[in-house]
Amino acid sequence: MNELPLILFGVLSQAAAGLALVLALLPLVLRDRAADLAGATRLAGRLVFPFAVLAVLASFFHLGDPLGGFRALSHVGGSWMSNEVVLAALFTAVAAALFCLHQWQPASAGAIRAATWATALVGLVLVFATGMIYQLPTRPEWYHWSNLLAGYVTALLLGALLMALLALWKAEAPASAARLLGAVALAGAGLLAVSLIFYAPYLTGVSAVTAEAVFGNLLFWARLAVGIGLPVYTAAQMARGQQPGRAVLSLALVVAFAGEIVARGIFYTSVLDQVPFF
Amino acid sequence: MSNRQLGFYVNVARCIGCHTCEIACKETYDLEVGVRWRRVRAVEGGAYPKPYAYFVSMACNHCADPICVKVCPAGAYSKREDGLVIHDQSKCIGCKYCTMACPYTAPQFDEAKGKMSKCSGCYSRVDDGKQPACVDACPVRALEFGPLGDLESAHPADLAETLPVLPSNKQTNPSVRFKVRPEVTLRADRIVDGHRARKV
Repeated sequence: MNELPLILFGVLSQAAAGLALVLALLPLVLRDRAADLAGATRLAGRLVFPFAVLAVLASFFHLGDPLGGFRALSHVGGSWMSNEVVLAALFTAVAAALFCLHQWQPASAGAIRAATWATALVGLVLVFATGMIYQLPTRPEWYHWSNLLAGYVTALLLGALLMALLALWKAEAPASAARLLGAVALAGAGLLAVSLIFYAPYLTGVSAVTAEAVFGNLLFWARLAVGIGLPVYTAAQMARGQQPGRAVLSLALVVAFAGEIVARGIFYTSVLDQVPFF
Repeated sequence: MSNRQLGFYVNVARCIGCHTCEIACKETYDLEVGVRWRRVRAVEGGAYPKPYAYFVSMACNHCADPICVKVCPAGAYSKREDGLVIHDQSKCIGCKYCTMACPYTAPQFDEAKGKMSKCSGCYSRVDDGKQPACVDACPVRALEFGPLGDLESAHPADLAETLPVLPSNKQTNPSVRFKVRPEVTLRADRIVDGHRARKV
C-alpha cells in the first residue's frame, strides 16, 4: 500500500495526541489522589514524545525527496499540508519538553501540568490540520465534515486504551481513572457512530462506486466488529469502574490500533484507486 | 482568467485512439515508463442494439482555478500569464498531494526522480510560436491548442465543457473543450483501462 507511511503518521500522531489529552484530563478526576497513578503518568508522559518522533519519521517515507522535506514549509497558511508540518514539528517539540520534565523532573507539578496541557492542545490542533488536508472540494468522496472526526476517533480510542494499559501494567488502577478512560474511549466510538450515520448516505449519494469500495469491503466490517467492538466492550467495563484483564485490554489495544490502520487504508484506496484518469 | 487563457480543444468525434499524441509527448520529454502526461482513454457505453465507443485524449487541463497551485506545500506550482500551470521539479518534495487533490489525477509521480511531473503545455514550444508536441503530432487533427476564447469561436457547434465520464468541472474550471458525439450522454459509460472496464 503506497499510503502506509501516511497512515502510520496519522495513527501514531493521533495516538500521541490522545495520550497527551488523557494525561491532561486525569488530574481533574484524580484530584488529590494523583499519586495513585504516578508511575503510569510518568511513563505515559515520556511515551508521547517517541510516538510523535515515530510518526514524523514515518511521514518522511512518504516523500519522494525526503531531504527536501523542509520545503513543505513554503506554503504555510495556504496549504493545509504546510500547516500540518509546522504543527507536527511543534507537537514533537512540546512532547520533547514533556518527556524531559517527566524524565528528570526538574520542575514543579504545576509546570508538568502546563506542559501536558500544551502538548494535548497542540496535538488536538494537529489532528484537525491532518483532517483538513483531505477536505478537498475536488474530491467529493472525502469532502464531508465527518472525515474531520476520524482523527479524533483514533486519538480518543488509542489514547485512552494505551493509558489504561500502562496503568494496569504499573498496577495502578484507581476506579475514577478507569471510569474516565472508559468514558474517553466510548466517546471516540460515539464520534465514529455519528460520523458513519451522516457519512454513509452522503457517500452513497456522491459516488456509488466509492461507497461500494467502502461498505462492500469485508475489512470495513471486520474493523467495526473487532477493531471497535472489543475496545468498546473493554471501555464499557472501565466506564463502570471495573478493571478489565490485562490480556483483554492488551488485545483491545492491538485490535484498535490495527483497526485504525485498516480504516485509514480503506479511506485512501476507496478513493484513489477509483480515479486514475491518467 | 480571461478567454486568453490557453487550453486544449479535443475533438472526441474525430479521435481514432492511435495514441500518437501520447508518444509525441513521451518522446519530447523523455518520460519514464509509466509516466504519461497525456493519455488516451477508451470509453464504451450504450447497449445493444446501439452500443458505442469513443476515445478521449487528455492531459493537464491547465485549470483556471488550479487546485494543485493552492494545495502544494512546497509552492512548486505556478500559473503563467497565459494560464498554463507549470510545475517546478526543483521545488517539489514528491508528497503526491497534488495528485490526490487534482480531480483528473493529472500530476504523476516519477519514481526515478522522486518528484511529481505533469504536462507543461509545452510552454517553451509555445513561447517559440509552436504548438504543443501532442497537437502537432495528431494525424487526424483531433487536438487543437490556443486561447480558449478562440477555440470556442472556431468550434461553436457541439462544444462541451466536460464529458459525462469526467469529474465535475465546477471546482477547478479546466481549460479544455470537447466536441462530443451526440450519443455521448451517459454517466454510466465505462472507461476501458487495458483489459479492465471500469464504471464511473
